Amino acid sequence: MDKLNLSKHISSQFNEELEQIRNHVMSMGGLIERQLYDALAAIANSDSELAQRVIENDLKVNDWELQIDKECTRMIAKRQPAASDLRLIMAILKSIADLERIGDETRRIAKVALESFNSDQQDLLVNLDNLGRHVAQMLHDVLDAFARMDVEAALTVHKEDKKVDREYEAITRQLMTYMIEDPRSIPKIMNVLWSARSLERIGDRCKNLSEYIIFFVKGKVVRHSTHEKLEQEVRS
Amino acid sequence: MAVIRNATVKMSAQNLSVRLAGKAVLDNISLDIPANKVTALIGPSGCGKSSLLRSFNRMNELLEEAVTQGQVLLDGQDIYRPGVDLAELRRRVGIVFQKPNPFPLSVYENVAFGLRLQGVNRARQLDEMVAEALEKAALWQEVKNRLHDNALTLSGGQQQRLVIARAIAIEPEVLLLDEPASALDPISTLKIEELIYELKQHYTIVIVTHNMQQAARVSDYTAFMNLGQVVEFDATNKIFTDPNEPQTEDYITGRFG
Amino acid sequence: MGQYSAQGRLLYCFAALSTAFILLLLLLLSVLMLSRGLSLFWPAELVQFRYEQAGQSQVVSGEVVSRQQLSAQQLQAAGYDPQSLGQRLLVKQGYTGTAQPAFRWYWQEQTSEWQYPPDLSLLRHQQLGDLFGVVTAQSDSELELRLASGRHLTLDKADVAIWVQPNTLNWLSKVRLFLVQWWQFLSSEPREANSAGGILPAIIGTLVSVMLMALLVAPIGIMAGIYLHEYAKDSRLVRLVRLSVHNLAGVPSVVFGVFGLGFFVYVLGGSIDQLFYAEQLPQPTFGTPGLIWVSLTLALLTLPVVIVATEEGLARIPVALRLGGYALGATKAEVLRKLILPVARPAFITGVVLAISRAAGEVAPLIFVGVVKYAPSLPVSLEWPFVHADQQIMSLGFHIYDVGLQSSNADAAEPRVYAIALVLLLLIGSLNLLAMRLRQYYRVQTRDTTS
Repeated sequence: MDKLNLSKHISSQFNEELEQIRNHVMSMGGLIERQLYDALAAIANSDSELAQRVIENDLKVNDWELQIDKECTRMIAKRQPAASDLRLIMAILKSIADLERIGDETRRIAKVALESFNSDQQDLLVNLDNLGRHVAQMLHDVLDAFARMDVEAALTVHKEDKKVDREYEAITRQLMTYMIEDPRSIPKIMNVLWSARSLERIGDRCKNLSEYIIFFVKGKVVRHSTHEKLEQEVRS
Repeated sequence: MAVIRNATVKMSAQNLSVRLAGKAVLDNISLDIPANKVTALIGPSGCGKSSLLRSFNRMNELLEEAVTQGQVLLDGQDIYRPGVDLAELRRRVGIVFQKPNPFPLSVYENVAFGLRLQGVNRARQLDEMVAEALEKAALWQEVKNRLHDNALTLSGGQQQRLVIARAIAIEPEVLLLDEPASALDPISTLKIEELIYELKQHYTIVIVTHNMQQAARVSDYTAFMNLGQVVEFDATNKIFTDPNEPQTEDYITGRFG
Repeated sequence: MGQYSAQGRLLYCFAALSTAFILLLLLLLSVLMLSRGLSLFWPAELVQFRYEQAGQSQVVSGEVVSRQQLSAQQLQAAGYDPQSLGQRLLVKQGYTGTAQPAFRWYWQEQTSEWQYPPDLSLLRHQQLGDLFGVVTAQSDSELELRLASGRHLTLDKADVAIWVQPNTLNWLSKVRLFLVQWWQFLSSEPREANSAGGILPAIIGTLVSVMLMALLVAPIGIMAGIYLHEYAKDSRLVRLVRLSVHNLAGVPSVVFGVFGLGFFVYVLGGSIDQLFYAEQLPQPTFGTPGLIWVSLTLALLTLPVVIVATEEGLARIPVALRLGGYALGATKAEVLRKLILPVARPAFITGVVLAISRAAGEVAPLIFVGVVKYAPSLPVSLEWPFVHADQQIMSLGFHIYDVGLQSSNADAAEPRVYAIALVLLLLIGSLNLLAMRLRQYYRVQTRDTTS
């Protein structure tokens, strides 16, 4: 927590505003996390009602993004944050964009749950469910790291993305064999494939979020580099 | 110092310690001032930034009993060595203070003052040089029709630009600015900042400021000072986004004290 | 709180009352000076009455200067009958041709036949002074005057400075007469042991001695002030010097007079005589009181004023101005000459004018070193060297003292004292006004708009 050091400004109003923005980001993250769990649950249980709710709730996510965006703009205009404050605001601005995208992906996943699947196809969904859990855990961890601004945790999440990619590739290959076997199921399998793709994207965005955390704490821009390089950079 | 890239060192303080009226204000400071760049000195009140600035053209000794140890090099030569011509030094290293201090003379005579001291007396030459200095100080358009009015009738911002024009009229190599905009309104401040940006092509500029945004806007390099020491010296871009020292970070983000 | 505000009110009342008291005194001073000083030259009504005393009767003409009501006690103490007498009049009857004085008291109760004859004239004669009477005949060069006593006088017209019939004058002519008399007062020499005539030599003496003093004190005082403030380090010695200068201001001025006589006149003047005017000895030239010694003594007396004013003027110059000069590579001498001195000029002028005001009113020290009751010639003339530094002079201050206390004719002298005092006041007042205007003028030139 002491890395955040938010409460020690001479201006207590500044403290409060920063704290508020951060709380809003955490709320937005919490909402998205639940959305993802719900979407996955809707698929697993073929719960169309839950899926419908997830789709509707995405509007709230969008509202959060707009609001936090506005708060950050206001903060820059009024307080001219510098150094770590500036990096925090920049990290938040980028994070909420990614979080909003995660929200969009979640909505897409929920749409899959509206389709009906036969029992064969239910097997496909199990694989998807594994990937989903993995990504959901990643999201949970990165939000946790964000709350504590924990570089180590962020690095772990960053590393995790590769595994997600690999799992996604495995699912893709598997789905392709299904499609070859049964061309009639292609439309439905395509849906599953889309949601797997969405999950993989969420993993990517979690990786982005972890990079923003590193940017905030270390002041280093670590995007677009391999994990090894990144780790070397952070530890130097 | 590794910090300065793509620039030669114009002035350099080396192990500089200054005591004013028995009180230590600068404690073993070493700092390089890059040529043709703007270097900002920031830090809390009483950190010694103004004293450091004044030690660059030996103004300290005019104010109080000043004891200086160490060296200040100007183009590699110690300005504190015995036998230095102080008038000559101050012609090479000009200074502008916080409060505009135009002489109670006409606008023209203010700018011509330093030139006359240097023995420029031919009217044509003086006219040209005065106009050029005022032009450089972005004041010519505003005062060209009132050159013979008393300088004290100008506005605060104009007065400060006049003082800068007066300083650059004698073509110094280094221009020291001691909170040049702190007594001015925001628009005048912006004009001064714009002027600093224009001037840095010809002069090496060192500016002391309390306004961190101003330091961020106008300077290429920033030195953060506290308690008579340079805590951190680095490129301004670095200092204001990702300073190395926690003290600097705290000061810049408003967490000091 | 209540107590506090009560105390505050008390303080306020006390302060306000003190100020009011001072204002009242000032007002009184100016009213007295103006009324007494100016009334001397305002043509008064002339009266003529019959006076009977001890069975003798005489006609008296002149102006009533003042009236006095005596109490019974006072009358008895003086040996008069309090029943029949009470009020008495002081009448200015001028030259009467008899042994009677020019001013004489008459008992109101013993007068009769009061008249204001329009043909009663006031004549001012060069030798005889004021005359009251009726002009009975006149020619081109002479006129014949009948006095109240019935005596006839034949006067040369050239000797008569003023001839008017005040009772017939209208208001405008009175004003003209008033101004003419003032002008004669200011522009002519004194007569009759200073009790009549003008005060020109005293005015000239004061002005010349004070100007000479200013020429002496200004450069020395200002230079000393500049040295003390700008160059001298703040050492014990300098503090001692400054203390001495301040103390010099507190030395009684008569002491300066004694010093001037002992050192300037005898030592300095004596040496000059031996060196340059040896052929005239034992007749002293400079070894005797004279204008130059008056001015020197005054210069010494007012030196602290100039030094202190100079130092304070320099102390008020903002440090920023000096730094601005140094920042442009000016040396100390250049900063001083081109920046500090022009800005401090009002202070220097103030100092010198203050010194002049102070010197113009000095009396005591000057008696020792060259101011006399009557100087036969002016210290300035058209002959080389124009200003005669070795000559004795008259001065307004001493003239007041002399007319007021040493005059044989107290009744005639009193209004003159007020008039001379008024002239002195106006002189000093206008000098102060001049100083104020100069200060303002230079302050406008160097005003600071930023503060």
